[in-house]
Amino acid sequence: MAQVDDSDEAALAASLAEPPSFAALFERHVDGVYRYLSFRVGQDMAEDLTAETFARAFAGRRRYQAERGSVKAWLYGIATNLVRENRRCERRRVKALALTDGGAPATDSATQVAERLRLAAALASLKPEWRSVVLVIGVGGLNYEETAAALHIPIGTVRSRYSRARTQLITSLADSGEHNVTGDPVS
Amino acid sequence: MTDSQLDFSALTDVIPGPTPEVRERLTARLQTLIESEQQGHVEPRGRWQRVPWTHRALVVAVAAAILVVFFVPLPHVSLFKNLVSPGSRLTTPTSVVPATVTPTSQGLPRDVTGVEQSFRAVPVPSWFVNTEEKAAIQRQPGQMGCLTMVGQPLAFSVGNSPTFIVWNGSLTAFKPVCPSHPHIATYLEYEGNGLAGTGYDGVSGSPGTVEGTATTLLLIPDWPAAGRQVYVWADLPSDVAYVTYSYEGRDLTWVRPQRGVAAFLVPRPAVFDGSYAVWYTAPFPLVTAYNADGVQLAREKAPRVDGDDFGRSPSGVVTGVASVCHGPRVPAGEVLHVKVSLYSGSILLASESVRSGAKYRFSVIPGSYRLTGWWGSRTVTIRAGHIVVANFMIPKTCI
Repeated sequence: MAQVDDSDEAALAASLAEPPSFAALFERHVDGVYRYLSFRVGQDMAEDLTAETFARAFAGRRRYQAERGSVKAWLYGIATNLVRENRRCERRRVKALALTDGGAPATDSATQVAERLRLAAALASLKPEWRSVVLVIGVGGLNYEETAAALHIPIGTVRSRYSRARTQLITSLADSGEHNVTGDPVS
Repeated sequence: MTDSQLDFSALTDVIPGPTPEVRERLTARLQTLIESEQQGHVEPRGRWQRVPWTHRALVVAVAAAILVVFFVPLPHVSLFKNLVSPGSRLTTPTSVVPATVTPTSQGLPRDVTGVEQSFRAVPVPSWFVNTEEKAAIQRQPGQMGCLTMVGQPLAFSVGNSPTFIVWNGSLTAFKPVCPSHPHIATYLEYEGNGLAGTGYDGVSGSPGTVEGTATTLLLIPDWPAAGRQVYVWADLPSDVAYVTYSYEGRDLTWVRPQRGVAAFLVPRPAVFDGSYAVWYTAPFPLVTAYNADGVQLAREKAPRVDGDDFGRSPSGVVTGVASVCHGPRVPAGEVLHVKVSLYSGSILLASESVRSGAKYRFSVIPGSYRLTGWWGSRTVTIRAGHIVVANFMIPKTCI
């Protein structure tokens, strides 16, 4: 993981003198950022917001501070800020996902679809700031430290919000049926 | 059921990555940016490249602080908890008196039709520039939860508002590990937990460039009172002489930038608090920068943050019967009304007209307020979850 971050920072530093070097960062993270934004605002807006995320990152790459977090966290922070500016879209997306099958593959079983719907509904009920933490960790794949940097909150707040959100999700899911539980982030 | 972990793969599996077509479009958009910069179409951010801050993050943070006597009676209470939020029966924003403005057209570009809003730089509050605290904060720059100040903080007042602060900084400010000065702690709480304790979401920055200079447009929502907000456009180039705020095609107000900052205290358009369909179709407020010759330099969309996006604090209620002094006899068929107004310091927050003998009611964030009406003025202190009763009955002297 550290090597990946180093490479990100090296690519970012190189892009100051040679802008095309920024493409390496793009290639490395565009799928994850797009996936994260897709979940939060829907695929219709995800393309624009993904483009905007990288455009802002490219325009502001001179302002990046390594001591404030990894490049990955920085990118997800930009993406999260964009989501905040489009908060209503996120609400609609999350709620819509709870009401449909969310574009699930046709091969999925009814049980799998139902599980997704329950999880989506439970996510929709979370406070926005809790949902940010859950999705950055759960969908973006950031660890606690990166999440703290991305969301500009202390790591303790990340832990507490994640814990509370998890508790609420467990409760919500318990009300609607059993679910599998795995996969905490790396602290 | 175990609750130690949650599996999100069920959802991530649903959301695919970009299709090859989408990826191609995204790549092309980035390539365009890169080529533009290489060809010099994107002007470098001049002053950021010339000064040592070049490699520092420009995060312009805006903090609102109530500094004056309005909230002195409750110094232990978060300054931001003294702001008023709408209650269920709070009067509509239209009843709120707009910020003080001084109509003038001196030096204004010909096509600007709004009125000038008073906007002035004020001394940075002493608690904010306390060097000892700053030093203490800066001693821990590597820790999350501390504030790394970059550049000089600036303080302003717009529309006779309380002071707010703008600074260029690298900001990771959180309460637990930072100095315990109550004002700093309050500020840090604000940054860490947001207005009304709901997160950083309340202040939204959107970048733009003016004359090749990176600027930041921010919003202080529901400040200094519910239904009102302050837009701040920071890091404006020095040749910006006027900035206007317009909505729905009308220039509503304008200011002369001070130290590269322009700000507007304006009512939040009611449509921003409407349903999604209403909000989504609402136009953006626009801020426009002009030079001294009246030439438009830039125009930016201002954030459309609505009340739901930054939540509400626990509130208290002040209510009571308000009767009007009507003389010896009320003419048949005539209904008398009494107007009750709620102030925070000298700022009118809301007014409500009720029939004489009926109850008024304001739902407000905890703090000290002043109720005025025909009887004069009365100060009330509101606590969260409590109802304060303040009746204004017909006095014996009223005949």
